[in-house]
Amino acid sequence: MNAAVWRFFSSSQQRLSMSLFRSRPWWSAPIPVDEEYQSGCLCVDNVDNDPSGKVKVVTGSFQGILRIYLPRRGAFQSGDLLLEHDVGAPIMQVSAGRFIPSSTQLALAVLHPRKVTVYTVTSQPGALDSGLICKLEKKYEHALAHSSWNMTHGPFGGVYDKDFLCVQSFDGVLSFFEHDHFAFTRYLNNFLLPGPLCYIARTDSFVTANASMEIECYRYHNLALTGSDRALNEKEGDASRRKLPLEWKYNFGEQVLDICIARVSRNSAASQFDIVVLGEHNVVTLKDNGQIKLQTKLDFHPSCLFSYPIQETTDQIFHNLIIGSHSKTFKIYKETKVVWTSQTDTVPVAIRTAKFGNLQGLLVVLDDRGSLTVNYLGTDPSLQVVKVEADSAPFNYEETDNQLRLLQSQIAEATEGAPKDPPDVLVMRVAPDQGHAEATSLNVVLELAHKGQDTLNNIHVSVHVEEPLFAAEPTIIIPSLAPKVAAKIEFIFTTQNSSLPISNQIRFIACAVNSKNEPRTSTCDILAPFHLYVNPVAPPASSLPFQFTLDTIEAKTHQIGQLFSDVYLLNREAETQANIVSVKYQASEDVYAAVTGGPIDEEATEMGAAWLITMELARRLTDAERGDLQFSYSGELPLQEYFEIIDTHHACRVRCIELEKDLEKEAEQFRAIQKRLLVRFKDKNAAPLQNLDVLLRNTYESLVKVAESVEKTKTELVKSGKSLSAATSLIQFLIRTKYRLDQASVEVLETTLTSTVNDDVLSQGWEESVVAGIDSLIRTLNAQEAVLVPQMKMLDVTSKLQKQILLVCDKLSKGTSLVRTAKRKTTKNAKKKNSKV
Amino acid sequence: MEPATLAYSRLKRRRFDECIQTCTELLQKNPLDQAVWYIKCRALTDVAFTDDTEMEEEGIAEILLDDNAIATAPRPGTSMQRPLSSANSQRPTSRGQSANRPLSSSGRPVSGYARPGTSSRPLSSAVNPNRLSTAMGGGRLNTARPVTSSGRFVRLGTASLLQRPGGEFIEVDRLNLKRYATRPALAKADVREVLSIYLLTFGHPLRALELCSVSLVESEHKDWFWKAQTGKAYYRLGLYRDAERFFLSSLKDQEMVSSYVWLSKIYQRLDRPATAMDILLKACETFPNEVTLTLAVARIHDAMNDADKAMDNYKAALTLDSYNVEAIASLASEYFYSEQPEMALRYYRRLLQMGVSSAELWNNLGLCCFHAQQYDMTLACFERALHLAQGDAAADVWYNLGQISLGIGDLGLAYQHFQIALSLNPSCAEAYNNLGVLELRKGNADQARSNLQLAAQNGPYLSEPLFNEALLSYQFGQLDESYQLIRKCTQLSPNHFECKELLESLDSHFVTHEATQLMQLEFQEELKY
Repeated sequence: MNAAVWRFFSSSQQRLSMSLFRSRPWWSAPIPVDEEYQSGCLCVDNVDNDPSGKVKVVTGSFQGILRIYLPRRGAFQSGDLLLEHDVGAPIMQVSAGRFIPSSTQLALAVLHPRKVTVYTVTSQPGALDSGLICKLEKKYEHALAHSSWNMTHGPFGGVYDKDFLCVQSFDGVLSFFEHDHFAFTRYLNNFLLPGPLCYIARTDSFVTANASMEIECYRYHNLALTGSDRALNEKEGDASRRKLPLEWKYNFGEQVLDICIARVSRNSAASQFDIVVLGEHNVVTLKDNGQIKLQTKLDFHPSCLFSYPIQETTDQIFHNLIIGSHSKTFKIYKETKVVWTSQTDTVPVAIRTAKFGNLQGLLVVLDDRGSLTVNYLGTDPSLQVVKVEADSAPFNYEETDNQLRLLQSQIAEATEGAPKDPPDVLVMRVAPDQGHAEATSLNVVLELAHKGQDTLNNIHVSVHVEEPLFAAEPTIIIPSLAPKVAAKIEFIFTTQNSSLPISNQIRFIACAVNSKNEPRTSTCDILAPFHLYVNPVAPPASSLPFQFTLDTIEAKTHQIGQLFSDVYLLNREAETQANIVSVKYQASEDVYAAVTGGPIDEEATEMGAAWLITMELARRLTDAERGDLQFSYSGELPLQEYFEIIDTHHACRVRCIELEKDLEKEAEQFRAIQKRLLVRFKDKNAAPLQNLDVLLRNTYESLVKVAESVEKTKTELVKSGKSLSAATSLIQFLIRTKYRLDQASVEVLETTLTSTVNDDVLSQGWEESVVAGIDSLIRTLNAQEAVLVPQMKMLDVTSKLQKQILLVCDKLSKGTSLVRTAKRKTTKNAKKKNSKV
Repeated sequence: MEPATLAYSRLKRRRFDECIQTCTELLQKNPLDQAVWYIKCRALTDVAFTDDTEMEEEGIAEILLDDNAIATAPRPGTSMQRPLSSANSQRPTSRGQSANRPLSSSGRPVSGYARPGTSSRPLSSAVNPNRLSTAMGGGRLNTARPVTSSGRFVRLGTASLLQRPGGEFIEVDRLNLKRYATRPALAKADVREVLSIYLLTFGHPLRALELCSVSLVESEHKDWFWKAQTGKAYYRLGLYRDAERFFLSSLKDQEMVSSYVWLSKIYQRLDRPATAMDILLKACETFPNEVTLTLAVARIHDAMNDADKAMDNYKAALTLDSYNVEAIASLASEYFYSEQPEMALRYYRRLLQMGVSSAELWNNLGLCCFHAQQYDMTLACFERALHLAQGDAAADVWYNLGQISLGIGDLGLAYQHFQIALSLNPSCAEAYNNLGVLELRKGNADQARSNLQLAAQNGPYLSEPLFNEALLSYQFGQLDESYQLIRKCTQLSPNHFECKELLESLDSHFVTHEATQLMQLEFQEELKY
């Protein structure tokens, strides 16, 4: 059989941006306490104008702490921190540029919410481990009317060797400062919130992103000219609020995180620069006229953008892009292609590249809690090891084996045997002393309880008995039953003269639905007292037509009379001293049966009549001998009598069917005549009846006659069915006794040669099902393969059935088992199976 | 420092909780501060962000109420509803049945990477779109269709909104959109844009559509952004044809990768994978190095059961981005199912090196090790998988352990493994099937049958339980029942060889039986004459 699929499953549930490699720390600074940084708060440059060109790292936090580091390989030493200074106001951004008038030295511009300050940094050898000490010197400061957001610098207007500052405020004012002079302010168009600001030196223009998710470009020249005529005289306000002339605009359609100017596109001319815009989900590269050039969709949340130059050919310098992400990785793009991915320990808010010591291209990474590291791109795989406890100790196979064995034996113990009853099972018991029997009626008190926790509602208790016993109330409904309380239900049975009894079993069935909507049923079988079915006959009946002799293995005389003493309880005078019991069934006809002790001789008026008494005898004898009693039967099987009964039943059925056909015909005729008569009577000028009325009457009479005979035949059929059922049971008993069948074979025999005779459906009766059953039994005994049972058809004659029963008996007499001996294991392997077919 | 500045800075650094908190405080003081409102709106939207270019899981209600179907019987290879009908799905491999690629509940082959729309497992969310009873009770109002898949947008959003007293941030029903349009000074384009994204994210596509149409008129139908937004709103409303129109128009104005991906998504929803593929290939010409597009092409091939082409595309994606988890995982699973566990193992090890560490990965590694005959590693891998696994994943790991036990022949152990798997996930059809087979080996035919029936009930997409039950019925002589089961089974897996064999032998049974009956009849007729 097919051992199903391997369930191999998809590897991850969410989008992951993962990397094979980790960036390795080259140097790292201690993480400051409770400080917050944003993307502008990192600046890497030679801010102290060190002649050796050593690069310093400058950070500034919202808490107003300005720090300058000189990273050196290895662990952090106190000498690496050149300066730590509290400037007293939150630091929004730090930049290095040529901000000092009449000097080309680098200076540090620090942006605070309400002012921008320019410092010069000077360093001198310090006492500590051959390090340096930096000093800040404030050169000039501009107060800002609006709270600032960010700034950019550059040679605005094409000045040579100078950097001017442009500060963007949170409410959209651009303030320009030419060193220590304030130049002018301009209001940006349709402003809501500030975006990144970038200065393009080549075109002398500014690029920013507005809240409408558009990239806008303004020329410095136009900015300076707009409103300049009146700006000097009037108060700042109306004049400078004039609409600024837009150079170009690009509708980006998503929020912009960062903008940088780089030469990304490899097929651009040497003088051309690209504008790289980092959005929330896309990176686009624009030409300097605002047209889109390249586009990449990101599958992670980017956090920062940086471009670094690489010299690809001797005269060409291009830029690669580093994009940091919130999934703690950064990717390096060459145009739109990922060339490297690396994991970091933090979410970078700013990344720069610099040369420290002799190493080119180290990455300076700052996160928003101030963790500052200098990394190189390591090639160590980042293995996340899942710790499993068993790893620590060497695996002990013996111990595990023992443990497994123990577990398995426990499981086997727990699950052994038949499936257990559910806890809330219904329990029924017949109170033994409560039932008292009279001549024609029986009272049985049934105790019903359940073992569950909840109250059960609407319990149906039904009873099933065979004739001649009838229950006064076949079904009793108990509205509710509390747990651990036994309900007592009284059933009254009465006997009525009817056909031959086939069993003295009384079956109670209780069903209910518990609170979890699960059905619960249970059954309880008892045997009705034998004396309800029979009356003792005073002079024992003798020389009855049907006779047979049973024997027991242990040749022992049994006191039959004593065994059946209860039969005489109500009729003492019929009691005899002889070892005999002789009874008359409470049937509509006179049916007698008698049993004589010794080798047990039984006789009866007919074969079916012998069944109940035989069963009762067997039961009583077995009880008396405490179970270890075996009957034997050496005589011939009374098959001839049996076949007669079958024939009678079959003939009865055939007649029944014929009569029903007749009935149908008569009814048809009757209806036809009725119809004609109706037609005649409906007509106003009725035609003569032409003796139709006579015909109708005659048909009616014959219809009634046929119906009566159908009814009669049906009663006969039921009667013959009963006697057939009883006879079949007896035959089963005799076969079982004669051939000493084991339990499995008995089961097979009882299902094939069934004693259940159902004559409610005429078209499919006992004979056919037995023929089909035996047919299949014989074939399966012979063949290894399953056989197709042909469609059942009403038998014309019973000879086939008789032949088959004979055949079975014949086989049994030869010692063939009814159970397939080589019971083929149901195969597990489809191929094996199919190859045989 | 000014709180608004701080909030904006934190928004940029995706510290949404702090940002939203600050904004809420500021808005309580001055509810009309548009900048703060804008920041808060963006923060809320970003918290609830889901990549909307991904395919959503299609709920049963959407399938039932889908009136966009074009052809009910599409030609082979043109529909994703019948991926097995692909013309070249038969691959010339000598693989056995055990490595048959499992199918998801929608009958598509399971991909190597769990994305919405391919998942074989029901969603863990409270709203399970695969059950009709829950599918109809979607949480979204205001829409024309009972909502299923988009329910998760709402869920994410309201979860973050509920943390604040006073209900939703924007009272959507009270928005007067006309006012927004007629008084541009009050609400400029920027506010409208962020509002439209907000509305879409939080599941108010009708209102978003109104806003979009107003803005489109204002922009004189030239703004690609508004066209794309309109398309998205139409998509949410289930009006795919209109969505397609707007995206096409948007692409004319401005070619964007995401617009192309959206368009292909719409075509997939319309069950036109070929058109979706064309769109993506066209986009690939414009953006030759775009991983997203290559992956999208590969996914469509995968969904169409065209594994070879999908592999090619995944490999192409890997040359563009050698760290792409999805491509690696898909390639690995494809190698596994084409009986190259050693190759699969290498890919999975790569994933492991890249820092992916999940129960699924360890499980797959364990399976690969087992099939590549590196038995010493197998159990160690599974141990780690169990260590990491939770919920249904744990059930699957136990199931696979059961398979391993079957493989080493320890049937008792396998039996217990499957039982554990079922105790963790009582609807694991495969485990029922295997338990059925094991019960049969023990000789409990009734128990076996009931297990197989449970398997068939829980996994209507599986052919194995049907086949097994058919075989069982066949052996017990219930040929009619067997025949019916095997017919169902052949429908599910038309290429299953043993299935065909059984069907043939059953056919021959019926034929010979009829023939003998016929002959008997003829013979009787002859006798009469």
